[in-house]
Amino acid sequence: MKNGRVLILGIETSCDETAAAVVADGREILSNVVSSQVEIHRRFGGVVPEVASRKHLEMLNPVIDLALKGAGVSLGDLDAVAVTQGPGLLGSLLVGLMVAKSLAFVLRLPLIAVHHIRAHVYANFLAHPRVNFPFVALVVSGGHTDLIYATSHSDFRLIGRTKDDAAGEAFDKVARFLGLGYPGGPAIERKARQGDPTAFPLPRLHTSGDFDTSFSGLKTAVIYRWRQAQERGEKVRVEDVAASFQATVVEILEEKAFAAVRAFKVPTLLLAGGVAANGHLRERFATRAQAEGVKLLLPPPVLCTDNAAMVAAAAYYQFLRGDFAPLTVSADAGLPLS
Amino acid sequence: MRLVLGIETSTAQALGVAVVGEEGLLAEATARGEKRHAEYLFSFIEWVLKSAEVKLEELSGIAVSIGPGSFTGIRLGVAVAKTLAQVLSLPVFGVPTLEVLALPWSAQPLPVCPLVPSRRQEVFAALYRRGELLKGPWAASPAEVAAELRSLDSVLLTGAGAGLYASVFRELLGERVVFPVPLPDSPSAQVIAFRGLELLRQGARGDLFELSPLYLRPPAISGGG
Repeated sequence: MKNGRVLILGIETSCDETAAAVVADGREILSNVVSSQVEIHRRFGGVVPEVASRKHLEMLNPVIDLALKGAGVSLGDLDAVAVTQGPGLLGSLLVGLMVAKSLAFVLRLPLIAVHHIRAHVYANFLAHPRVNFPFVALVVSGGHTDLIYATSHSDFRLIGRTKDDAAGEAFDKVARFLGLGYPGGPAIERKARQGDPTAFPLPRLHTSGDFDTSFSGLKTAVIYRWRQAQERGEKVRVEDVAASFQATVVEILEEKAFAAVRAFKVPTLLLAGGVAANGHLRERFATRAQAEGVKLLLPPPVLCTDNAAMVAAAAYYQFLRGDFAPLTVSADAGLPLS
Repeated sequence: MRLVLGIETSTAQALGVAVVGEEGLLAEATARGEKRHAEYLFSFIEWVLKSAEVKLEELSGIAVSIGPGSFTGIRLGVAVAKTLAQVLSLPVFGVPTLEVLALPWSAQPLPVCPLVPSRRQEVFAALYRRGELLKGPWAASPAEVAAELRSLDSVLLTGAGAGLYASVFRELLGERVVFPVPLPDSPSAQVIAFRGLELLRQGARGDLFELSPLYLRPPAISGGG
């Protein structure tokens, strides 16, 4: 601690956002810079890995510069450099990792390798003054649908995941099918606001017993039912399809998350990840949490999508326990949670 | 005393780091091997600086190969070179990988065609004479590159692509192709560092925000979605 508090520079390049942030004591965001590539990938209808990697290399150094200036700190003030090690796109992860290693090497600072999904959970530690263990966390994004049971900062257990598509991926695919554009989450949410969630009934495809989810069948059902309606000459409103699809995804997530809360007997449920920015999901979870007497914690939407402040926040607790990475550490596209 | 650190990660053939000064090479580390560049690069930098008894703060510039070659490999070196330059406030120079392969042959009169293997049975190539770029660079099949070389009386082929496609070039160009023995197949970090030193002497700016890779191929789009 050079200034009476721990200053960590976080770097995040696991997918299509180039991000850097400076966070004090794992809690106070001094700067949080995100350079989004969404406009670039929009015309391809999804993230193109090689395009993303190239853009990260172009943007990361200026983004770090902005994050330091925005925080009003110089490189010499930092106590550690944190970077997303995985999971994510390998080529993209490597850009962030090599830049972080360079900084740690020259500045002789500890390097902290952070798990991307854990980082999402820590967005809640930035947003809320007190987060008590144990809790269940649901991390939903374009790449992940993970249910986690955590008893301490060093004990995160994966208790459920998607068997096929991530929830956000299902949003993207259905949005593309409906011609609503990319990214699918916000596009479907906008349409769904004018739709009737009961007008286009979809099967409830709950998997039994466990906490795993599945969205591939639901996506197929949307496409099948849509085509069936077209053949029969039925008039189907895109708004109704969007609303029905969104409601079904949220219902599946809700059932699994609250079942986990009951099974693990925890008082608190955390939501995180890009899909946690969805307004309908936030409302449904809030209502259900109140009814069941569960404490629900959500980050603000800006901290739900990929950012580096959450990386620095997660890294702070690794810093406290001396969990540092050597400069030989490699990126891992499929890094396991524990 | 000017000191330049050279970094080579642009091909799968080898990882290399060198530090050079006005009096010549101070230290160099090279290892053959694929896909370990990200892990060992800093061990190499550390060893080279220590062996040369040079502190990071004493460096006057950074030089790095910018491709064409392995997309991921190029990015590793460029990301590190840019960041070292950013933190140490140093000039940083990008040297095309094909130029790195051609430069050791600058003192002899034959035109030189360095060849770096690419995906799908293709190569990255260009034509140099005395260190000057004459034609290219190309991303093409070995046969297409051979067609570009047909008008020459004699041409020296170098780089890993020369060894890999020797028979194709011999068949299409016959006696006109010359292969150095032994065939140097990987770009040298020392050559990169010396090129950086030369650019530094010439007063080149070496702005890190202007340093970009030479991919020579657009990204493959098939992975979208």
